[in-house]
Parts: sequence; C-alpha cells; structure tokens
Amino acid sequence: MKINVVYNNIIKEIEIDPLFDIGNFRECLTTNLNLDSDNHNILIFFNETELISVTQTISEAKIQENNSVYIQLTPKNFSKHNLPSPTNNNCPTDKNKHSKSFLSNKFDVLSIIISLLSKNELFNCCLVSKAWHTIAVSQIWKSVVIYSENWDLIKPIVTKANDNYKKLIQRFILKSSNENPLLDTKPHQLRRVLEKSTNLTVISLNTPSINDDDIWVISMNCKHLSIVNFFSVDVDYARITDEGLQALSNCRMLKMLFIRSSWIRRKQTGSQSEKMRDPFQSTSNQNFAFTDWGFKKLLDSFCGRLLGFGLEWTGGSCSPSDGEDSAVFYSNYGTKLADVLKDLFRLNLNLQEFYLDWPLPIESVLEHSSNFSKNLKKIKIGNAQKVDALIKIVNNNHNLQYFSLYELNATVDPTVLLEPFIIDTPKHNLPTMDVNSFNENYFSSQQSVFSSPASLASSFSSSFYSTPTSLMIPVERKEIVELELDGVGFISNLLTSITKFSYLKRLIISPSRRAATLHHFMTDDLVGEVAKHCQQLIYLQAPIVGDAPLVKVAENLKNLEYIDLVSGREISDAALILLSKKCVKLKDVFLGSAVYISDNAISVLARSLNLTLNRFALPFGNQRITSRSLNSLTENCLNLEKLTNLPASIEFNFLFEKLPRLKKLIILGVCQQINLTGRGISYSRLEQDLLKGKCKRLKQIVFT
Amino acid sequence: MVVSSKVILSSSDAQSFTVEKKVAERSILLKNMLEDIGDSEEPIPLPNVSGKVLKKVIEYCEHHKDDDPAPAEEEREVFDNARSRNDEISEWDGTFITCENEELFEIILAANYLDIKPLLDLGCKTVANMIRGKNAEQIRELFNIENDFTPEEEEQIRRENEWAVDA
Repeated sequence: MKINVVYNNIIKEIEIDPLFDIGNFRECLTTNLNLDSDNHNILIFFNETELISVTQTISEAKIQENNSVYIQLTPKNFSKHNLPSPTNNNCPTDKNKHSKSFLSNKFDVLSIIISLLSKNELFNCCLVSKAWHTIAVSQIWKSVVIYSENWDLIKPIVTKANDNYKKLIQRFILKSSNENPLLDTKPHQLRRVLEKSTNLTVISLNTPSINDDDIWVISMNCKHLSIVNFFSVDVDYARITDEGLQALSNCRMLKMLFIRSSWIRRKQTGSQSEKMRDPFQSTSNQNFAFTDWGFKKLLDSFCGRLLGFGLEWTGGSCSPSDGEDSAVFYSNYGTKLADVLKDLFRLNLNLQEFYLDWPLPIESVLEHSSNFSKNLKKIKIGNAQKVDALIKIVNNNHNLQYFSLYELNATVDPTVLLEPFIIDTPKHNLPTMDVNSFNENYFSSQQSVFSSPASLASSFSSSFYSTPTSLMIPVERKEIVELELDGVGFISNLLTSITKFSYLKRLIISPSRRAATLHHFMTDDLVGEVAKHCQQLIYLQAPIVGDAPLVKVAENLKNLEYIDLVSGREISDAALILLSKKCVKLKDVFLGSAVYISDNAISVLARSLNLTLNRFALPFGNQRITSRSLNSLTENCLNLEKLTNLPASIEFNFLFEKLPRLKKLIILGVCQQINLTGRGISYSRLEQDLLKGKCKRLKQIVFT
Repeated sequence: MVVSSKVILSSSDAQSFTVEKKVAERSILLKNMLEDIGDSEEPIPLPNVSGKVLKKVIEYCEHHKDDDPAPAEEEREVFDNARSRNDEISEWDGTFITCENEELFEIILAANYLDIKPLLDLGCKTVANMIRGKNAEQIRELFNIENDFTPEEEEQIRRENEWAVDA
C-alpha cells in the first residue's frame, strides 16, 4: 500500500507492506527519504488524533485500510525509556524559537486542532503557510460531500485539482436535494476524480453519475472501497448493469453495497424481437440493469464479509408495454434473482443492513432472511404483500433499530410488526418532572448513532440496558430509533403502538392512497399522543390535519429538526406560530396543503427560524400567501436551499429583486395558479433564465 | 504493600515538585515510566517542561485526579462529517485554560509530551476556538507564522480549495 509521509513539509508517497513492521518500515524510509533513520525515532500519526511512537507500539501500528499517514521524525533520544536531553529540539523553553515555530513543525498537535474545525475554517487555515496547508488540505479533502445540484461549482476544481488532493479523499458523497434526481444536473466526469482517489473507502452517489466503465476503472484503482452506493439509470453516462457488479468484485474490502435503479430492462426498440426470445443471454449487451448472473458473480467475492446490502427500484421504465410476454419475463427473472439473494443471507450471517424493493418474490427472500440473519440493525422493505416473514425477522433480530416499510399491501395490518418493539423502558417509571432532563442525557449519548444513516460501527451500548428495570425485558432488545411506514393502511392502530416508542428519533408515517383522509379526526388525536410520548423525535412526517396535534408537537418536541405535515389542511396561523417559536431547531418545514395559513404566520416563522431554515415548502395551492411572505423569507432565511410552492401570483419583478438574497438557493418550486379568468399564471422561460442568471446557485425551477 | 504515593518531578529549570503518584499518573508518559522503574526516591527529570508550565499542568492533574480514565476513542461513523465531537469545555477547565497565548501553547506542548490526552484536547479545543472566524492573515498573526507562499501559490490554493467554503 502507499502512504503519504510528511517530512520537512514535503509530502512524499512511499510504498509499504500493509502489514508493515518496524524493520521493513525503517528500510522504506531510509531509501525513500534518503536519511539514516537509525538516528531518528519515528512518530506515526493517523486518524489525525492518534499518534503512535513506533518504538512503543509498533506491533499494533498496522496502518488501517487507507489512512493518510503523517510521519514525523524526531531525534532518537525522544523516548520514554531514554528521557530527552535539554538540547532536544522539542524543548519549549527557548521562547523565541518556539513562538516562531509553534504549531508549524508540530504536525501532531496541529492535526488535532485542525481536525476540530469546519470546512469553512479549514479553507482559511490552508492559506496560512505551507505546513498548515499540508494538514488543512488533508482535512478538507478527506471527506468530499456535495450536492449534485452544485456540481457546476466544483466540477472544474475536482476535474483539474492536482492528484495529491485526490489521493486525500476518503469519502466521496454526492447528495441530492431531490428524491428523484433530475437528469439535467449531470455530475459526469466523476471518474476523473475517483480513479485517482486511491484512498477512497466510501462512495455514495445519490444522483445518477457513473456507469459500468467508470466502475471498472474505480474498482481497479480504489482497493480500499468498503461502502458503495450508486444509482443506475438507462442513459449512457449512468447505466450500471451486471458488468458493474462484476467489476465490484475487485474490491476485496467491500462491506456494504447499496444499489438504486430506475430501470430493470431496457426499452426495446426496432429489431429487438430476437433478443426477446432469449433474454438471459443478452446480459452482456447491457439490456438489463441487474440479473442473477451479476449478483452471483459479486456474492462469490464477498466471502461472508458483507454487512449491508440494498437493492431498490425507484420506478420509471420497468417494462416495455408488451403484456403477457412481460409478465412471464418478470416471473422468470424475479425468481432467479430471488434465489441468488437467498444465498446472500446464507453466506453473510453478519448482515446488519438490508434494503429491498425490486420486482421479485420478496416474501420468499424475506422468509429466507428470517432463517439466517440475527444481526440486522436496519431494514427497509418496499412493496411487500404479507407480513409473516417480516414478523419472524423482527423477532429474530434484537438489534433492529431502524425499520422501514414502504407501500405495504394496504389490506394488511402491519401493527403486529411493532409489537416486539414494545418494551418497558425506564422512562415509564420516572416521575414526569424528570422526563426532560432524562431525555436530554439520553439524547446526547445517542446522538452519534442517529447522525449516521448507515451505522457501520455503532456498536454502542447504553448504560440503560443494564439498569435493573431491564429485568422486565426477557431478551435485551434495543429500542427502535427510526421507523418509516410510508403508504400503509391501519394508521390508527399503528399510531397507538408508536406512542410506546419513547426513544424514537425519526418517524415517517403516511397513509396509502386508499387509507388517506378516511378518519383524520382520530389520527389527529393519536399524532398528538405520539408527540407527547416520543419527545426525542427529530424527524417527523405524519398526517397532521388540525391544530391540536401541531400544538402538542410544539409543546413536546424541542429537538425537532424536520417536520412534514403531509396534510395540514385545517391548521391555523396561531398553531404554526407556536411551532416556529417552540421548535427553534427546525431546519426543514413542509406545510402540506394548509389553506388557512397566511402571510402573518409565515413572517413570524421566517423571523423565528431565520438562519436555521434550510428547506421550506409553503402550503400547496394556498391562496392567502403573497409577496409579503417572500419578503420576510428573503430578509431572514438566508440559508434556504430549497423553497417550494411559491405562488406564481407574485409579481416577477418583486421575485427578481428579492430572490437573489437567498444565495444558497438551489431549487425553487413555483405553484401555478388559475386566476379568475381561468388562465394559468406562471413565469415565462425568459423570466426563469433571468432568475437563474441572477441567483448563482439556482439550478432548478419546478412548477407544480 | 503500602505504595509510596509521592513522586518528585523536576522541571527544565530545576524546580522540584512533589506530587501524589495518582496525580502524576494522569500523564501516560509518567505512568508508563513509573511502572518501568518501580518505586524510587529519585526525582524524575522533565527537561521539556519549564517549572511555570509544570506547575500549571500539575494543577490540572490535581483537579482531575479522580476522573475516570479517558474512554477509548469510539470508531467514527462512516457518513459522519466530524461534527459529532463534543466541543464543550467545563467551567473549571475554561477558567484554567484562560491564559496568555504563549503559556497556552506551552501547556499544549507539555500535555502532548507528557501524554495527558484530556489536557491536550482542552488546549486544542481552545486554540481551535481562537482560530474560528479568523482569516489566514489573522491566523498568521496569532501564531506568529510567516507566510511562505508566493502570491501565485496562494492563488492556486485558493482556487483549488474554494469549494470547501460552500460545501
């Protein structure tokens, strides 16, 4: 493996044995740096904070997977057995010399300090001096996290940056501010960065951006990849197929693989009839997204080390519209794929995360999972028809803390799935006065778990599990932390169970179309109860129709950062004002289709949440909101990245004057309205272009 | 066996400090050394640390002598953006660390040398807080660092890392 050695302020790359020992290492240094290393002790710094003196703990100092490593050479007499002489150049007693050089030749201390800073501050640090630059850039580039919508801003830098920077990248995360990313923001040429980033461990691409060829190149160069997440679509620059899966078998450290795809089989055009006759032979033609063949190849390479796997179909072009032929195809295709996935559970008993939403016999796959997996922490299943196998999974996996069900067959009551999660928690034994402080303590100790969707290494154990009250729990089961039930029936039953999950941090519950709006008076009361009992909620998406549950939310959920009212139909200004005054951590607010909300409430909200507000959806189709709301939002909420449902009735000139104040705005959603004459109001193409020209970051204007 | 509970530390300027063994053992360097040499009446020379700083360091160790040993570093989360660190400084620590920059730097170096992780962290957090909100020139002033970039180099670095400001 290659490591970066920082010596005399120069970065030098040297090749060392991954299982290096001191002799080997000294030899490397001696030859590469041209020095007599016998006269030096070697300090190795990795993970920024740990420093290991080679002489002390060399046997433990295997360099982990891909860390960039600093090595500082100091004179030999710096050691615990041989105390330094006063002439040691580390000696801080010579004040003049020291104040000049303080920190500059102290990579270890400086690394710790710099690792505490944000990217913004790191930028200033890297301009200070060459020594500071070396350390600050390694922090800046270690984790590249960007919105795909901002790709234009960083593309030139990423594609032209010098290769030393690219080598520093360990995590490359492309976020998207849209659930279903539009294809007109192409973060292509990504390969040019990733192929040089030989220290990459995590690639997470939430926007279609690489294809099979890219994966081949990346998998050949980035040997340390342990987490890969990508999005395949049926366009040249982002088409990933079995070929890509096969390429990933080059990555011998791969532990987690998450795949999303908007296609399964290519739309047939022209002379496709012959391919249809023999669809499974044509995988090399890249006519399919993924088949059993590709997964089989890949699974063989995992050798049981897989910890996370996801395969999700995001809809889109699933099948050509050719009726029966298609049905036969999918039954055939799905069965074969399901068989391979069953092996996945059998061969990877340590699996902790599993997502599945794909046209295949999900039940049989889940059934198989329930027989093998015992260590699942997180599952997410889409379009299941039954709950039988899921019940077994929940019962068998006591570490399950993140549970998502999407579009479950609406005639099935999933409440039974929640029952195993209901455990008596210490909280119920506490007097109500103590609940708040209790929550705060618990919250802070658990924060790290929540902040990471994929919790590879969160083997935390809370002291609460060992309290005497846990005697009431037959088997130690971890409290459920995230629950997503989207597009399900039996909302009332579910909400009643959910009130028992006092450790819940994230809740999404929204009714299937069939179940929607059937009995919202009952659900309103229950959502209120949930707010009262689940006071640690940070993320809440639940159907809130009237004021009552919203008031409960405002009174109880002090840590709330995300709220989506789903409906919001009857909420009043007063309730929204209360919410914005009480829940001051709110970053994302989606007001459903609240019809009674007016400028008054929006103005108060804008002032109260001001710089915290990040994404904001005005109520859809609301007739009371005017330019006054826009004015207060642009005056106060300067960090807004997404603003939607802005009524198109707002004068363009006013919009053009005010909107550029929102310098971070990426997406603007405009609600087209039918005016009295029956003509739809909208902004012209020219106006949109003017707006994009003036708002540097604005990439998308969406009309609804 | 009654453990001799006192240790004598000798600073670079030959000042001697007698401290409880428990206090001295806050320093991993001293802890390891005491294990190695066993009980001894000999003063332990610390030529890297001046008397003034050593006094301060001992004050810190005295105050924290009954703390639990620092918990092992938790493995960092894979998608975490390094913001989960606990940046809070307790009141006593805050008062303790409020001193002239020169002295602060010396305490950090001493903590680093003596391997007293909580004190090192405290010092580093304090310095990090000093850096926050300052531009490159102000940081150079703060630490008395010379700008060794040519204007061209500086411009290039600016260009290549600018994205970090907005990311």
